[in-house]
Amino acid sequence: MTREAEFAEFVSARYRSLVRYGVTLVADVGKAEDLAQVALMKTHRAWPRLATGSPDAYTRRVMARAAWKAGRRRWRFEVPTGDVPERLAADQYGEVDLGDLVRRALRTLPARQRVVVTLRFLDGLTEAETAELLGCPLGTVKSRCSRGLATLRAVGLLDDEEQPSPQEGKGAR
Amino acid sequence: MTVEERMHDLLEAAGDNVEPLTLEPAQRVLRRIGQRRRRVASVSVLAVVIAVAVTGTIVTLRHSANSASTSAATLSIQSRSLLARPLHLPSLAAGESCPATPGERIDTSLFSGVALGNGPVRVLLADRGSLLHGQVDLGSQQQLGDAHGSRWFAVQTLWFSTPGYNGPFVVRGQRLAGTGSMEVQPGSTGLAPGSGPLIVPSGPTINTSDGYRTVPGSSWVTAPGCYAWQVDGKGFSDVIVVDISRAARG
Repeated sequence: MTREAEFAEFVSARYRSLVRYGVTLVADVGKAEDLAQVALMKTHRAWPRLATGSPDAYTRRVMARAAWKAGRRRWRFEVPTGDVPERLAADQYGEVDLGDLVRRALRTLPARQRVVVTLRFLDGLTEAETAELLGCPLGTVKSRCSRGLATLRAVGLLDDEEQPSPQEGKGAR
Repeated sequence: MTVEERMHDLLEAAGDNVEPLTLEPAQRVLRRIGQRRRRVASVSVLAVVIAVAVTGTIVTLRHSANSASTSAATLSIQSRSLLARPLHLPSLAAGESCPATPGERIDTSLFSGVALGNGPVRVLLADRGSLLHGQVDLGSQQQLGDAHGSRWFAVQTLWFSTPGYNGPFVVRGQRLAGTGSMEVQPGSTGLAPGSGPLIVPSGPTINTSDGYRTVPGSSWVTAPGCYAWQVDGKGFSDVIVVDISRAARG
């Protein structure tokens, strides 16, 4: 199988999953697709050395870093305010709309807080691992994570009594 | 349930019911890669063109400042003396093959490629072709028109003097057989028939490094054929022959 064919097969198999991952990073399906495609372009370039490794993990790391870097741009901080500061609550559609509820809540977070929250709680990275991946100080990860959780509590996604475990380690994967 | 577990469940749910809109993502990504490559290539070519144009403009301006323009009134005595030398180009009988000067690879800190000539002043060719055999292929290049209705092709050149020669030089060009003209111009600031020949005063050019003095430019020709440059400098007068064709490229 040629390199292009291998890559195409990988994209076809993993694209949907990558876009879903991207949604937690950028809280928007369109931007998530763009993020996934840009990351896949880098994956294509690195394909010869990735083919026997984990191209999926590599692509996700590239997506997280790209979303983190994009968060530096001023316009990224223009957070939609339509649902803030109202508390978001699940309605009678329950699970079906939980995803939408979470996406709306994620949109209230500044871009970099969203990236840190995703890496910490979806990927299960420790604070130190997150800081290393993003190339930022440990304190930055801690503060963004803390503020992100506070915002999610404020919009009703987390209960007030829910607190992060004091033990530093891998979270749920 | 810990907050980590709760957050993990919530973030996984964020992807629920999300369906990408791109129907053929692999093709889309590969297409974007192709577009990006073309864009990078275009930007690179544009950067080179701008660099050559800017350099050429500066060189031209410097020539003026150093009394080395083509205006007879402002030419240095040395340059006038070089221009007064007669051309001694080889004659070419009808049907005779072009005695093109063989090329030689050169690699310096300023430039690299195939250069023709073996004297103190040589020319690096930037076009395609069998350059090691002195053959340039203009490919599908479009002719440019001038104010007098003539049509011209550009042969991209980089004239340079080798370390050890810091004096002035003059480059003139002519077709060896058949009808057709050649204009040797500094820079690539546009076709300006009559602005040649190329006159470079003594001393450093805008791009001088490791003893090499370079002058980017173009030699304009009205038709493919066998052409010769005569390079005159202090103590030498060399002829460089180039076979210019216009074969279709694949």
